[in-house]
Amino acid sequence: MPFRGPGLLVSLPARELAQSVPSGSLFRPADLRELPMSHELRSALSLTQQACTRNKVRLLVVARPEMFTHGVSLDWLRSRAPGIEDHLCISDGTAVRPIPTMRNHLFLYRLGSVDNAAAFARLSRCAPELLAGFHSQLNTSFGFRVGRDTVVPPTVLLQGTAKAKPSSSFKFYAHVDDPSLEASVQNILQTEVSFKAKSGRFSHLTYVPMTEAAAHDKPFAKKIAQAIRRSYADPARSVVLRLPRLNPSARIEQRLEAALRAVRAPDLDHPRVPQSSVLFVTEDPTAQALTALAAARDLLVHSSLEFWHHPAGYYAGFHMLQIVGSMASVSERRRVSELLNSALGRSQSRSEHTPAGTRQWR
Amino acid sequence: MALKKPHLILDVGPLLDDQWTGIPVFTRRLAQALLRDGRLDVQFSIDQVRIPSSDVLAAIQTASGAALRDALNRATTGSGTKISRHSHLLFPSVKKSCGATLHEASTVHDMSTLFMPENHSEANVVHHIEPLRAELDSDEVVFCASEATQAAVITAFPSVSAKTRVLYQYVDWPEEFPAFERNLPALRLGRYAVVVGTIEPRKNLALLLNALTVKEVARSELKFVVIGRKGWLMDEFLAKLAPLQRERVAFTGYVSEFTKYRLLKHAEFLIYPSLYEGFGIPALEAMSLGKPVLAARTSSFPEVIGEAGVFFDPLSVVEFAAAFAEIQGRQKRSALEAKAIAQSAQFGWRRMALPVVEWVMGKGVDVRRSISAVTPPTTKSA
Repeated sequence: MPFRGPGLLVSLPARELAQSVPSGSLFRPADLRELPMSHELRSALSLTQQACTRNKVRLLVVARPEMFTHGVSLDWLRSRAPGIEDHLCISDGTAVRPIPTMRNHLFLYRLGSVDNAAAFARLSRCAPELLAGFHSQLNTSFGFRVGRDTVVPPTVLLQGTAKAKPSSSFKFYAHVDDPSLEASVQNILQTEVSFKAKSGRFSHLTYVPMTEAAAHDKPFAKKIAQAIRRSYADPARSVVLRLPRLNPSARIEQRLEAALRAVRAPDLDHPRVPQSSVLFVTEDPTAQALTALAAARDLLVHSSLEFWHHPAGYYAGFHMLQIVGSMASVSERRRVSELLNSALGRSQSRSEHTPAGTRQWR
Repeated sequence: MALKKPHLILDVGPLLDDQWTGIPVFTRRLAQALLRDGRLDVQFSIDQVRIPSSDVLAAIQTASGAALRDALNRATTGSGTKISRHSHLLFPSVKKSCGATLHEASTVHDMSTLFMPENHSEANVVHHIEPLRAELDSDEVVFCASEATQAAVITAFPSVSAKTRVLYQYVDWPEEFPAFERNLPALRLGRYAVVVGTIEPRKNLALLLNALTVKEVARSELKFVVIGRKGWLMDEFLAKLAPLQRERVAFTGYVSEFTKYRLLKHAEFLIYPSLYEGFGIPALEAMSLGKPVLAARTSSFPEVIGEAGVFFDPLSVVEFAAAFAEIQGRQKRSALEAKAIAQSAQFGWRRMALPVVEWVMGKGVDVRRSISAVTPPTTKSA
């Protein structure tokens, strides 16, 4: 917990709350309970609240922190939040809004969205000093070029205990000759299966929690295609793909379409029947459900994965972890893999770094 | 023998617009302030093409870019005088290119595209944000429209901190407006307050519309006149107005400077509910006519309005309603009216010209281009 003192100001992205901010610039987190917001933002806020409660830190939410530039407006804010020196900016990557004179911390969420990731990349390129000025970053390890240096605000890990959500499972069915993606999606929707019924059917499982950015990343798509191909050859091997979340209102058809676009590689000859060993799931299965499915389990993750929805223990049951993602530089790749290894409860002793990604054994 | 004045080239590209509001008006005021100050030899250019002063002055007389476009065409096709590398070149807004001269300065009006991109179109965000860093790096001085804008620039780009200067603008109603106004029949609008500015999400007009049902506002006889053209995302917003809102609020669309003057002159006060402004010239315009301002407590407003206004939290309908009730009190308003004139008088052409003159004459300018202002928490070599 990087926050000191009696309290913490938290700001939320205006884009998500534009239609539904409670009255006033400052309010209690409880005032947000009934307001619509994305699952990821609610999780980030809830994690922050839990950490504050544990550490007896009072939490206040500030809307539109950019209003408090200096002078009278900033004094007004500080007088309404007496003694609070820390500000946590929870951002979807499209804008970050530090409050002058405070210790600012950054919590980025939904960078698995292609648009958000692109907006954040632009922010990093166009205003790196703004980002470099943050005192710490929660659950990310970004570096920002300032002059000749790369500034990396210290990373703080804050992981949650995600509650299992009801999930649907479908068999993979996406022949390359299907007339359209929509047709494939409709075919898949006909194949709903019970995840539980598959228990004990496989000896090996590769679990792939997808993000939208992952679906657009060719090296990652190639890795998934390889895993699927292996499952064709060996019926004891299974692949479970968690659909990318896209935006909060995305329908399952859209999520399936995004996933299919990634795995329908033209060089991969999918069978003309539903494939029982490859499953799509709408939510992360519990660790127990994954254990029941196969004794040996690997995890294939993209660098944009929001690992923090689960505690490190969730990932402990995986034998091998592969991190793949098109990242800008070697140093960035190393930082991401260090972060994920640490968050996913791995040591660095048994790892292998290749241009295609990082492999880490338990 | 008279000493040769140091010369400055002012890019008057913003004056090419047909309708002068916002940045074109700022540019016109800056040109006139510098000419009136007289300490500099002020010359003009557009995209590094020199424009004869006579053409710029003619455009200023007609307050339109039409004549200037002809002048630009003539200058582009003719041989034209080139800009010397050693000239001081000032952009009243964003630069179209960097590094044309060794002494460049640009003007940042606000940082809303960086800090509140959700209130702008993507094209507008790209237009402002993509070149900003290169612009600031190549500037010898970065002029900021207010202390609020200066603070926002420094937050985003601490390394340019030492070369930022505040460049306040001023209000200059044409001398003939009072006489014109006296000779016209009285306005028949009843009691009203004015809101000035392009109608767009950042201007937070929704607060006023939501407040119409709150007791303090609902009971008042006051109507609201919104002056300004429709901006981004506003058609849908206006289409949803309820009958009560349509009854109490009138939208004028774009109006001439004289019509704006007239509407302000007869208003009881100005309402300025914006979430964020770089300066807020309508506040100064209203104050120059003795009108107090009911303003959001945000960014540049407290600095520009001073004690001539009543402030409220722009996200709180309740606070707005309370401030609305306060400013309607006769005693309170007359006290504020007196302060309004005095406050607006603090912003004049001399004050606008001074930081530019000081820059060109080499006074008080720290041209360090270091990044020492950055104090990174952790630094790793790339």
